[in-house]
Amino acid sequence: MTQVKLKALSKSYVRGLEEKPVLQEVGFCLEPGQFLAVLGPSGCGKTTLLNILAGLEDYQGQLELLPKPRVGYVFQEPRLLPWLTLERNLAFVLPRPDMTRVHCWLKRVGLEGYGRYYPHQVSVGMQQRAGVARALLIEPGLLLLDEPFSSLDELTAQQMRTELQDWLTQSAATVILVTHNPLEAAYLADRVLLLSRSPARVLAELEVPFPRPRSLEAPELWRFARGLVRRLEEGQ
Amino acid sequence: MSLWFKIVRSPWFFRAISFASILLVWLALSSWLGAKLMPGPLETWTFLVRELERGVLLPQVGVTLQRVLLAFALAMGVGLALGFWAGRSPRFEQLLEGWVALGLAIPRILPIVVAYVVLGLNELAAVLSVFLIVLPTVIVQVREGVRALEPRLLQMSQVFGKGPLEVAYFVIWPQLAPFVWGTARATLSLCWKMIVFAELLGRTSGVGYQIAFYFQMFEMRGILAYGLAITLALVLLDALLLLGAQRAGRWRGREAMA
Repeated sequence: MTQVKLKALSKSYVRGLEEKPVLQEVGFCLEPGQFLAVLGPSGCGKTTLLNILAGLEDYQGQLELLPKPRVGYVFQEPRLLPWLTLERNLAFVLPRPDMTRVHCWLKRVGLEGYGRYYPHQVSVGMQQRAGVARALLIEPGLLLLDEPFSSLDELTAQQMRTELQDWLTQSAATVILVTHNPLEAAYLADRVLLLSRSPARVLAELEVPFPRPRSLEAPELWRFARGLVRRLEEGQ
Repeated sequence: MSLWFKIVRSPWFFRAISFASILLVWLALSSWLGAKLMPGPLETWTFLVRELERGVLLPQVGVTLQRVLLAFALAMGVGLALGFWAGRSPRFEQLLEGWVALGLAIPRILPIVVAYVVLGLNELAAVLSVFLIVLPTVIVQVREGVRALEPRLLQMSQVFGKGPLEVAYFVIWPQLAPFVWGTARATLSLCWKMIVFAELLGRTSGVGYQIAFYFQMFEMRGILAYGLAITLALVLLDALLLLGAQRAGRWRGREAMA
């Protein structure tokens, strides 16, 4: 489990002579095992924030990950290696090939019997499940989820949100989910961080006041989600 | 399905037609120009077998193949390294740009002539000049392959903490391999044409020399027989490279069919 501390974190992209700020003094503190949803309008820099946390991009400001975690990342699109079967895609991220663990996770995410299929031979939803299994398989200390259900149809996305809750009960990871779906944030997270339009700054940080397991049909969850939208609109 | 229908539908049927048409054109030319000026396939083959029995053909083809493979290996080795670097580093690419442009634009015969004048009529000059002729093509092809690497897959490997060797083997090579095999085929083809030319200009052995020799004797059977021998040898080598290329590009085919 990992503690995440961000203080005055900023990021700019330089294109030619122009400097475009993307993140502006973003800060939060996340205790080990907590689930944070980062909610903001499209293109506000949410993915950049995750990439910084994953060590893919440089930044200004302070970022502390204690202890240094193994990072699991579920990308917006599955990002599987097309020349490897699903089981070999999963085994690829392990330090040593452990097919028992790979098959165990394939079973957990409902892909039992599909291990020898290539990514193009299964649906996008199944590929995304494999992407989730790949991230959880390494027993991450920090799990980053970048709009993992945005490329799926709503029915599949709904099913995977419910299943994600179950899978995460078997993981001790600190989780950061980037989304622009307020209901998804309210359903899955312990806390929600609201970001403004680009350059993103923190508008508010809220506790989600509902015990688990949660139901997507609960009216208070919908009310809370509507409240998130209102605050986002007011803050822009 | 009738046997005839099966044969006609087979891809080998059209390949066979393609090869048969070459023989037919050759036969037609031979009967039109006469056997002295254009010997037919059978006469050429008979001459080739005679050269083989005399013990001349194999050593001469062997020498040429040796030169071709040496220039090819050098060009592929150096070209892969420089092309990869150029694809990854814009600064290095800019540094290389002038040389590559010069190498691509220069008439291909020029490095051979210059090398013979500067280094003398020797093996080094022949192989080095052909290496220099094909090198820019290899660099450009490999650079394009490296540019086409999918950065998101490299990011994924980085996030999951994969080391450089694993990334090279599992992520980079499968994407680069179709480019490398394709380049290898083109390079081999260019190498042998240039080596034969270099032999013709300034060596005393090899297929190019034999062609020059029979040219002076005005013996068309000899010219065609040695041309045919090296072509057959390189068709076989190319078939091996083609197998590699097909194997390397299999995953793209599978994806495209999905």
